[in-house]
Amino acid sequence: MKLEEKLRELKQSARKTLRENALEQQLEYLRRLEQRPRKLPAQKVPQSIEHYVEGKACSNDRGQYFLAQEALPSGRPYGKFRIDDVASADLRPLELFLPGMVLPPPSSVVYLDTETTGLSGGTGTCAFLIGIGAADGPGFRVRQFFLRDFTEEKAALAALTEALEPYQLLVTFNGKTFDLPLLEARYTLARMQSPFARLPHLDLLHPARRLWKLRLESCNLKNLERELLGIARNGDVPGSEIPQIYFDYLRTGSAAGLQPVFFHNALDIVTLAALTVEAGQAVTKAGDGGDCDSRDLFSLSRILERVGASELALATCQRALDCGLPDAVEPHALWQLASQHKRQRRYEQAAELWVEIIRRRSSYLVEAYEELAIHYEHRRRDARKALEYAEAAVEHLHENSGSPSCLKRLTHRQERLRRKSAPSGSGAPRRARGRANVLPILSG
Amino acid sequence: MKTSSESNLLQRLRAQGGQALAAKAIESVVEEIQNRFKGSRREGGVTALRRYPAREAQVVPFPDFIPERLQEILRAREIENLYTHQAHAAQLAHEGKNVVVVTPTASGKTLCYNLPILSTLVENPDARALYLFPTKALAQDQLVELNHWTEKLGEELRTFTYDGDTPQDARKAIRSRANLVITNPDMLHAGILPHHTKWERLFENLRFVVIDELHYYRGVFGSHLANVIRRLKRVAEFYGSKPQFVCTSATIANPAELATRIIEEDIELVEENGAPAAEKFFVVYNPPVVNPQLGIRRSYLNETRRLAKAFMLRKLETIIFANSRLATEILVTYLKEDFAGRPGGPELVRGYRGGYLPLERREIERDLRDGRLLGVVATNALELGIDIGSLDVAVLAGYPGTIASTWQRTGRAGRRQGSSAAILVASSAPLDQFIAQNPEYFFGHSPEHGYVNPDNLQILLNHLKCAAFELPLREEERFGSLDLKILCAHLEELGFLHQTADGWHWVSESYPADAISLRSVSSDNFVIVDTTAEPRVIGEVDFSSALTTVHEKAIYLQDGQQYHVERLDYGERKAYVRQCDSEYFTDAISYTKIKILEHFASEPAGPAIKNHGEVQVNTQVVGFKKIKFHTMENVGSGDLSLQEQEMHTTAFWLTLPQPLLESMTYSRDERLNGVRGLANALQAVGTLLMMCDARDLGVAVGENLEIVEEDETPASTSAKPAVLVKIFEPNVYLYDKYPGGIGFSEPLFRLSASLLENTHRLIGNCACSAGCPSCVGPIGEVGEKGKEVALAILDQVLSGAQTSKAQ
Repeated sequence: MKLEEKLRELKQSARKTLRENALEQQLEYLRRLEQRPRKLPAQKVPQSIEHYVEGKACSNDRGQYFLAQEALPSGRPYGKFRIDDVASADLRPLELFLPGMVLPPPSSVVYLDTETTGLSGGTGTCAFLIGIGAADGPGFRVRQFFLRDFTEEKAALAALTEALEPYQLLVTFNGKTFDLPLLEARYTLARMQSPFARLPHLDLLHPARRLWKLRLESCNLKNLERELLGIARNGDVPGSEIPQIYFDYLRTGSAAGLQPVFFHNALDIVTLAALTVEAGQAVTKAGDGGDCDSRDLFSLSRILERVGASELALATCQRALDCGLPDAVEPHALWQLASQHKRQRRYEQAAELWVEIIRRRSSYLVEAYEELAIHYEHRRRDARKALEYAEAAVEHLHENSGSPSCLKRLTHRQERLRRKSAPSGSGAPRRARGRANVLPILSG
Repeated sequence: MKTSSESNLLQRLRAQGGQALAAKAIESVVEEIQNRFKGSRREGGVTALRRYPAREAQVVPFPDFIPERLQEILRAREIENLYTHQAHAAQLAHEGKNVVVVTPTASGKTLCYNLPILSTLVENPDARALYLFPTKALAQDQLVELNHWTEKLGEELRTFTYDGDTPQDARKAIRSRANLVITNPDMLHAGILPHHTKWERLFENLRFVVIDELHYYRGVFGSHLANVIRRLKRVAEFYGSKPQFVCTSATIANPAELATRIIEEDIELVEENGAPAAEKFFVVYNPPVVNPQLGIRRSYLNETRRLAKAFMLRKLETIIFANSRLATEILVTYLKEDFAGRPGGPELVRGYRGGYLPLERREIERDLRDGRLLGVVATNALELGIDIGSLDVAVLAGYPGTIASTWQRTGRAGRRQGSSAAILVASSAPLDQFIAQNPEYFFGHSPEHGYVNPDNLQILLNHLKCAAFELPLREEERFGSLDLKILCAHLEELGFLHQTADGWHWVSESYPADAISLRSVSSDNFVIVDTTAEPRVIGEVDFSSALTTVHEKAIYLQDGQQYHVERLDYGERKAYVRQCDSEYFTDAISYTKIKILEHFASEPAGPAIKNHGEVQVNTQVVGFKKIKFHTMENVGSGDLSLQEQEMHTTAFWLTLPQPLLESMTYSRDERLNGVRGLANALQAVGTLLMMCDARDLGVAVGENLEIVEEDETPASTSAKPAVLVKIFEPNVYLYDKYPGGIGFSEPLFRLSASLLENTHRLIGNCACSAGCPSCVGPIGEVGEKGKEVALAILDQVLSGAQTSKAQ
């Protein structure tokens, strides 16, 4: 009897609460577990984006988006440049970085930069502000496609495709790994054709590194801007804060915080254009003997070497050395110059440089010893001298615990040279002698 | 030199009708074991011997839909027809149905999915398939298998594995070119789905998803996988495809149910097995009791060694399974010693476990296939379907924990012809003793159930974040059975989502999949830092077990090495340890308080009441015991005061009403001890029924809510003892040790009759006189009468249940 009462009681209490309520309770419990309670910004009367940024809502067959435009007049100074330098620049020297491509006139080049909801990549990262800039007559015009809400993305992407139509070259900074894959993903998510397949792309990050890495500590955009253009931004919004600014805007509807983001994006684009001009000029100046930092000359020599312009590379490297390079860089230049001479079969000049490297006991020491050992063994046919160099290399490797494979190779050479330089008939093994005889013939 | 002559001998044996010899040898050893170790079930020896007769293959011709080219390749591999289950599964898959195939080890189950899928891929160059394996090693194995086909099919079949080991520069090509991608759930979760735009081609044309080793996905892992599959289906739908699923599973009780819960679609079950089998012996062996007072038996590792050696000396290829890395290494050492002076030498025995280098493992697998080894000692690393061919004998050092796993392991022994044998050597753990003493439970029962709870709130919310990251969540969408709007509003409030006209969008800089491990509920882990020399991280412990395993002064064990925990930094989630050589290990004492939040159901179970519902569990670690290795003596203790943990979860509980307990002529303490002992035994059997780890199922004894409340009022202090005696009405809880529950409570409620009967059997058949760790717990914990009272309670509950059934 008592038990039955109890059961009835239990049954009544069971399932009394609605499932939703139970869910709410559990959520409340999880909320308490959540370690970092978020502080939500105080709700103000939200002011829309038009209030803060020059621009207007536009629409196309995909819907609405917000477009901000800014025209920079030709005469406006921009660091050491003026805006009209972009329209009048000679960008053809940059063909060095785009092998096989003929660079279009500056009016056909478009510069792009995005502001995104994060850096992690993947389909959950969105470009909420896509800025492009291009020469507009003698001036420069920046257009920024903005999503007032995620629902505007398709329209914005369609507008971007259309806006990119007239251009033949796209320039970005780190776009190869970041902006373009991200935009490609956005187009795929929108089930739209991306415009980038047809548009040749120059990611200026890589030329910038190759041109200026020796001279500048860092080749990020801000640093290049400061060092090369002479611009210091005041009160610029840090990139790391941008996603949260956009999230706050979505939640509150207040666009106040976005104004500096638009500004930041526009500046990045103009800077990108200016740096592109600077890169073209740097190549030209270095090439025609203009006033130029010796480190830049050496950098250019490496770039030329890469594209196969050997004679020019060699001359440029020589000039860099003539101008005087810092101690940290000079051995690299000496080594490279020697290698360039060697490749062009000017062995004697190369040997002089290797001797010079050894004299300085700088980096490439072991490499220089080895090259000289090879040189004396096969070209000068002076086994004794070759052996001296090989022994020096082995000794140096032992002292500095060099790489085992390198040591093995050189020890091998050293042993062979010992057999070679020993007076004939001294009882060296026959097999070794046989090989020693063959080798000079083989190496010609 | 010895090695080669020895293996030559083995090979020669096999070649010259060795099968018959092997069969004779097996029979003779089995007979010898039986004669030598005859004994009673309680005292030990062979407690069961079964013989499974040979079975003929059931075959049918190739179905018509298999293209001629594929049939030719099969014939070239000397496959002239199919086993019935292969043909049946292939036919269903070909018809577009979801299929789950359940057949034992080595029954050719890969053909069940490879045939219909390869048929589709060669007919339709755009079609794509995705294979999921729980481990990278299995994925590699499948790649090798598929390469047999690739060799003949060339460009028609472009198969690649895509996992953490895939080089970055190869990934792009795989994404666009591969028409058969082999990966694991973790990679799908964190590497593929969040980047699905890069996999456009695959998702646009995804026809098949294979989930191999489905039984592996139980509990937490399975609950996660079900959510990953929800995400996969969303993404596929976005690109306009709707893949069908082909799953394979080892024998479990509810393969179709588990598969349905994971893929959330109807599925066809194929379980008739057409593969042939040879005669097989199955022996259950319980090491004899050497100390009846304490219920101590001979070491099961020593007994395993003796038995394995007996087989190996007769040139029978033997695999020995151990349940831990340490036990594996100990057995390898012993057996190498045994063969040191003999022809072939210690090289005939190898170990195999996780932690060995992949190359070494491949070499051992190859040597096993080629018959160059006589014995291998392995952990469960060899339990899954890695191809090592078939051996003569499997010796299991300790019960693997589940019937399913036992059959998987014993399935490693069994050739197409001749005989094979499997021997289970019981350890002193409760489950082992239960099986050894009730072998009919093992032989008579279908294997365990696989349970998942994909709607576990914490797991679901985590995957909802990933889903929103992948594609905005539309309001009308379904993702599990809970109300999506409430969940999304919750995530919006936390700042993860933002609602627009077309749904909820991800608005966080983070990459949610990175923070979610599929193999645990929360990714909140404690890092173990070894400070013996240069500080270095040696491992991780998940939050729930951290407080009991790495509290200060604990002895933490990893890879057989002991570490003393010097400091636990709770805020930083770090435990600083130092290597040590200790004679004891530690066992945390925790105090658990349970509060019932909601009854889902209650029913009478004899004079008791069984319930399941939602509970709040508060746990606090209050101290620890020091227990000596080998002798298991309690050699000391220590106090701890750690933060109390609160968790909401689901539980099954048994209420023992006042009249039931009062009818027994024991003192209050004896009754309480009896209830505690009963709880310990229930947990052991609950673990057995639920096919889960003992760590997954918590146990606690609590008093009824009203009493606890009364207890807490300070005014009643003086009257307390009287009140307690009067209405002592305890609940015995078995609760899911994961926040939100992982799906054990409802089945335990449903299966409570079996739970209680088998618990009775475990306690009743135990050889100890008054309680031991194999049944109700040691006398030190449950007192002199603990075992007796626990049995008495069960007697009443069960006889009452029978009476009410009869009425």
